[in-house]
Amino acid sequence: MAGIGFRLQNILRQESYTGLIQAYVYAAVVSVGPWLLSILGLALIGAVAQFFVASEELKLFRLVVTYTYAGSLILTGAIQMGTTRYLADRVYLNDIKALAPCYHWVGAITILGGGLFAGIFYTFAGLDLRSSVAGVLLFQAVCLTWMGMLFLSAAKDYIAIVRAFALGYGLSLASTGMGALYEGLPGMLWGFAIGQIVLAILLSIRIQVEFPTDRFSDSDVLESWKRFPHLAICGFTYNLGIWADKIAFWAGPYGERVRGIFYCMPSYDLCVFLGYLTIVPAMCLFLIRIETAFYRRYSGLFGVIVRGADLPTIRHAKEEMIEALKLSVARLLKTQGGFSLALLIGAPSLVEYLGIPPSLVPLLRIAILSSFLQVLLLILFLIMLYLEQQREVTVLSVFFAFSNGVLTVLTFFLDPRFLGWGYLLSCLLTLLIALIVFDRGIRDLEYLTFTKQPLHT
Amino acid sequence: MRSDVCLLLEGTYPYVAGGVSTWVKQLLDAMPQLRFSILFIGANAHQPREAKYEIPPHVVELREVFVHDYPTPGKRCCHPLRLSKEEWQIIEETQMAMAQGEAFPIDKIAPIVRRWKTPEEVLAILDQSRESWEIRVKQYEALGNQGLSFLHYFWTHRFIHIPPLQLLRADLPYARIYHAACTGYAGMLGALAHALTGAPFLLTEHGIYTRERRIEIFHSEWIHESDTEGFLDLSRTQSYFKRWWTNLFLSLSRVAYQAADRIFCLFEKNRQLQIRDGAPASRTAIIPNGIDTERFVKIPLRERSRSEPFQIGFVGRVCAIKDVKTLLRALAILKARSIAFHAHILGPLDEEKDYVEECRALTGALELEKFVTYHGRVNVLSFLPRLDVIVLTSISEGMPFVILEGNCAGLPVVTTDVGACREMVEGRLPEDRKLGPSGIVTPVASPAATAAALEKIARNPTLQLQMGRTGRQRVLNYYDIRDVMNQYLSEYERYLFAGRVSEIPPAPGEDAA
Repeated sequence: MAGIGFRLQNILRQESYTGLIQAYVYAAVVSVGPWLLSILGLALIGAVAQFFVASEELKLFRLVVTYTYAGSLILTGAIQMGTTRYLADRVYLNDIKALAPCYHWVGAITILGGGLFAGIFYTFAGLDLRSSVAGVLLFQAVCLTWMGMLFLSAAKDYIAIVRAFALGYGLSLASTGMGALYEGLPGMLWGFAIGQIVLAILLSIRIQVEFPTDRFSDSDVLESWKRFPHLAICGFTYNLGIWADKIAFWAGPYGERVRGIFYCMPSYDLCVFLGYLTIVPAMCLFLIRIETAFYRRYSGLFGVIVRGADLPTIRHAKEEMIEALKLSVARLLKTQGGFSLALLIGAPSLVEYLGIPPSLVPLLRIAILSSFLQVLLLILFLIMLYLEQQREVTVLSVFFAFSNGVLTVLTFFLDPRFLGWGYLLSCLLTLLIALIVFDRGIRDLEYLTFTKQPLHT
Repeated sequence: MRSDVCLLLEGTYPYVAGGVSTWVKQLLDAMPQLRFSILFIGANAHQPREAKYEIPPHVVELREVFVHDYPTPGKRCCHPLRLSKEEWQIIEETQMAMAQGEAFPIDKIAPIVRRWKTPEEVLAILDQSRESWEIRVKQYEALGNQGLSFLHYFWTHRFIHIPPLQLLRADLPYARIYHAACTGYAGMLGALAHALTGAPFLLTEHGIYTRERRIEIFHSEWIHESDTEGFLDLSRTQSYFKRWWTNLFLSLSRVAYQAADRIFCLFEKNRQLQIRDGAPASRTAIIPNGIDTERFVKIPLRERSRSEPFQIGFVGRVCAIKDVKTLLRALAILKARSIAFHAHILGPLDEEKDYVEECRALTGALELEKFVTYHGRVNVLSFLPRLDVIVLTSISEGMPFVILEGNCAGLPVVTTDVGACREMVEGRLPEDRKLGPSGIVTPVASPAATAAALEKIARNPTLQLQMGRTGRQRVLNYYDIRDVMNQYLSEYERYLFAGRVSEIPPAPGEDAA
């Protein structure tokens, strides 16, 4: 008699959690990398080109590039996390053949979507034709670059990314310089665009080489996007949140029109830009720490679970992970905190050294403080994503974007000394709420981890 | 539409061939005047199912439910029912009873579970809620500091406790009598029907379910046993998860025994086991298997000369519980002792394909290819006239039909001492025993004893004839299908005409039939 409640096959299932771990390392690289590069790249190019070009043209060039980064990050943000999730699954299953076809498909969507969006934008942007065309191509190239980075990160091929970026930006630098010499704005844009296109191509080639395959295109990733709509919202709104206050300023009463629909607010932009520079140490520190202490304990925890440890051992491993986390955060707070504090205090001297009007000191201080809170928030989000709190992070991202926009707009109606407080308060509020949510999630970590494993035969 | 009898069949008729399915077919064929419905209990819906029997027209309904019924991945229940503290306590009590091999309060847990509408809701409450997590952790910690793998504990908990509880939501066919062909999940559903409607519940056990599960559990490789990384104490964990599984089935048995109005089995040994496992002795009775003797008495008794090769027949599924490997080893001994024979393996080869491969490999290794033929599923009746003896080497049996058929056809039987085999071959009641033996009984897993028994008959055609005659007489007297089925019919009539009419409350979301 067959006892059917009881098959001698594999009813017992063991799932490895390491696929999930990798997914969020990629997220870290991709969310931090472009941000850093956009800031540093621009700074460098600006420093070089100022000798060749009228300040008006240079200002506009910088603005176009800034808008391009903002738009591309926000737009691709919608598909980055869903794609990352899909790639992590494929890599875990060792299905390397699926990666290149997925990239072709995603790349096509990115270029088409990017082209469409940029096309509409530049139609109304008010630039000359040559600059507009360059702008559209630039936008497509940058969008494709972000996605290419994602794929190469999936294979942990960071060196290829760095090499491509070095080459691409080197070329951008050179050709922008040349373009500046000969043609002013269109020349600079075309030069920069060429460099970025080469970068995108280099990454694409690297993907072909890295991931041999047997078919050209694979739209399976659509399933991942459909199954995890909250990831799309999360990626989109988080990036939107980062740019919301700047966009509000550009569009608001303080915005300065440079040409067409390219607005800027020089004092705010400058201070915010400098503010972001000050947190570069934290970003680097944290990235390195994630790959070592926390990650080790984190995968240690899941390794311990999978290898059949008893509950007290699992809880102990969790405590160790929390300790490592606290240690990393403490170090981060001390280092970056100290650094930011020093800059806060030394703001007047800094301003003098850089040749900036001293009236900007308060705004600069706010920017330094906001950036500090922003990086804490980013780090907290990344950790929360590791620990299965994707839905919570999504809700918090939406809150962040919304509060940043609304609070910034509110400050327009107040005394000018409250400028920049929108961003500051938004970061602070989101951070505080996130901490509470995170704390609850940590306490529930075993519960969430185990019960989220799906049951199906 | 209400049937007279609803048969609760777990893993057998109509999708799996075997002893129980044969019994079901006999039952249905004997009572065309009654309306039957069948509730088939399978493992999961994705397994391909092919009906191996033609279902007669007086079976008015065939329904299927599955032990593993989980939602499609990604489907979630957004607003699961919130349970009261008392309800959670009942769930906890039920799980503890299952883990300890005790009967659980089916009348209290069933109404709670039957309010849950979808598989997603079941999981949301029973598997993903905070309360269920806390219960699991509490039960884990109550085991003391055994160092048990929590991951395996967690998954085992899921697979032991969720299936029976979700099965309690089954939409039972509407019938006047419920008759389960085993304990396990079928027995549980019979107890459920009785609890919900008060309808009479009859239970027939062919083999003892818990015993068979115990053997499978013992052999299984997928139940977590020990850990190679040194986290755990080998000797203690070795038995924990296996004991847990065994207790689940014991618990289901006890629930069935408590609820059943009549508890039937095939032979005395089993009746004693049932009583030991909690069946009230006054409700138990023996109704053996039966065969259509008319078909088998027609076969002439074989008078074989000593020089003719001895034709050995093995009739049954080639699977681990039938221990075909011991038979092969016995045949190797026969070959070594220069006895001329040919062995015919007659039975389905498609149920435990791995085991069949192993047997074929062993056949080759023992150089028996020329002496053994694997025929697959055949018409046994047409094959019997060619055989000299029927051999069984099973580790566990109920009351195998093949012994009745073989004996009735005039063949002696060499069998292991399991289940009813001894009393079939040596007689149960005093007058039966006076007829003499119709075969030889050997110990289990003993190729030497099986070989010795086969050799004895092979070398003595007179003995073969005498035992064959005895067997025929025995079967005609005590194991004729008409007599057996009349016993069941009178049991049914007792309840059908006793005036117990009940309504099944409508299943969630459905109107009463």
